[in-house]
Amino acid sequence: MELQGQWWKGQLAGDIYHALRCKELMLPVYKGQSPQLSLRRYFADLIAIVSNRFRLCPAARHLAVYLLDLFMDRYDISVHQLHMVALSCLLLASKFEDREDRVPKLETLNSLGCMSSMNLELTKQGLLHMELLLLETFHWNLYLPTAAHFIEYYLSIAVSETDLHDGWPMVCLEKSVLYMTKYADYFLEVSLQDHAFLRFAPSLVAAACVASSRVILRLSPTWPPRLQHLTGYTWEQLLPGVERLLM
Amino acid sequence: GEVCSPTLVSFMCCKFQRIDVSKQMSLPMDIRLPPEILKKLQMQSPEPCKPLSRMSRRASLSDIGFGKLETYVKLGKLGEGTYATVFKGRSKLTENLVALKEIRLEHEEGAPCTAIREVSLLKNLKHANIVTLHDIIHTDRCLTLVFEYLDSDLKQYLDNCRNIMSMSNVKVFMFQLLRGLAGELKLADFGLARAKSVPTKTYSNEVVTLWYRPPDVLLGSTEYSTPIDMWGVGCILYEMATGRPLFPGSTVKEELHLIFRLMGTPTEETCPGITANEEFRSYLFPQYRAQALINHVPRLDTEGIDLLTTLLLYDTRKRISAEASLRHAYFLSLGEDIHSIPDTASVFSLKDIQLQKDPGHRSSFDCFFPNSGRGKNRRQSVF
Repeated sequence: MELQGQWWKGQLAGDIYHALRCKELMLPVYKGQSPQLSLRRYFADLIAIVSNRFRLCPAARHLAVYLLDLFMDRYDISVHQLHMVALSCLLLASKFEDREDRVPKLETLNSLGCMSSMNLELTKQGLLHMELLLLETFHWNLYLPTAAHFIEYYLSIAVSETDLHDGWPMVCLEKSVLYMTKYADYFLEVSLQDHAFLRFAPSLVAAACVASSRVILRLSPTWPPRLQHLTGYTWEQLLPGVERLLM
Repeated sequence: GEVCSPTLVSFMCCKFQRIDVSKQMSLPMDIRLPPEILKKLQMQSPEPCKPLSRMSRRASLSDIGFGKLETYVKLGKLGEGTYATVFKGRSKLTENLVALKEIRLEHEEGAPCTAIREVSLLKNLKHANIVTLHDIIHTDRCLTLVFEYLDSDLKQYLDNCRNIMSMSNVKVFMFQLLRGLAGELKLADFGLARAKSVPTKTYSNEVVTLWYRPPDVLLGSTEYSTPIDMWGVGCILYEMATGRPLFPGSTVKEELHLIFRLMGTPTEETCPGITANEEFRSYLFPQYRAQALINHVPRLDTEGIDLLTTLLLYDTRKRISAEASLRHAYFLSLGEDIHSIPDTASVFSLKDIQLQKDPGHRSSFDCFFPNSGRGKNRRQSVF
């Protein structure tokens, strides 16, 4: 993500975070009732692979999977169509979240090895129809916060000099910050693979990713007051999410 | 490519209200619908509960004409660009005037970024000072956004009153503009990480005028921040109070020159970091001293001059925010109640807030100067 996009460092960070938490309370209901639920993991992975190939931002990837989840929850879709739906979700999310010049071009997308091996081709017309169908389903509102939207804000205070490592003062703060970022990214991707995380609020999933990283990095206290204060979540509230991530 | 950013959107969406209308986001309040259909609409839950119920919901909305091109009659073209054409139109459903923004799709891969972001943004905003999106229609060739029709923007308003506005109206319009900017608008495009850059084209792809751009942007800053809008607000305050644009430059160099001549050439004190700015150094501007603004805007009172001064600060960290300016002493005379009206209500819902007749208004002016045509068609507008 480019420098200008780092809202969590700016003057408005508190206001923006508050607005995201409010938006989160109004997210559509997810019921987990898709007849194709067993295929969900496969398509979430497809979105992750393609978005990595095009180096899309995590928020685009998470929004794409979320759009797919909500769409599958509402419609009975054939497996072949699901491929088109998943790719359209990715392009739509990328158009909303990424820089315009980062949005994958159809020609490049269709030339990917995985596309030809699956005998897939997304046409201009096909994409337009699918995107309009998606937009209509979501009432044209793609302002849907995901865990990826919250995590950077939490990461800004995820490690501090006052933290202990294995009970001892930290040797190198910079290294711990670096590892924290890597683990948090890892857990964020883990949370994408399992639709069970849709039970939790996106901000809770983000907080649980930070908490799980602190567990793995053996930082204590595991959930210090500053993180509880910023996220508004207690350790007890995070525990079900953390356990699922560490499973 | 085109960029969509809050600067563009805020200037596009902020509107001035002249009449007391309370608005609803989705359906116009005076919509003429048979009671049984209204009832049916209210019964519709916003989210379909079961798979495959979308078709039935869609059918009921389109039964009454939403989402259909034939519901709207085109009356005339308002503007054209490579991305979109805007028409004046009329809704057969409500008989109201609408603005139809047609976005061409043939050169796009799917739905255009700009349209997706613009509509998402508007769907998230409910504010009396932000333009209302009534309907979205799509065909294979184009996407049409149906907006409420704004009968007058600031440019037309100033033309209409021959550039002489009543100072009490200036205050009310200023307050409405700041209300729009202080609300959710400033946050709407921020929470989600994305490209944020200062736009150089308007929605109809015309080059954005330089007149309302702050020096930090003219000197190469591409980072979007809310103080960018506030500089433009200062320029508009001046323009309403004097009837002329503040810094009508036609090139970046001329624009900067006009700014520096009035506000003083920036120094490390007034604009930290400026001496290290390569672009600034390469221009080799003379060392102008700041002029007293009161000599240039004599009709503005002391508080107004103070607000204008804090809007036109070089240092973006010191430039006043939209929220803080709503609380500025300049607006004290509007009363305390104006701060507690809900976002969705107009300031004219307060009985104390009324517009005065502008001294230069055409009908009264024409009696005295029937052949005067000054000030017409001169002004570029950001709206």
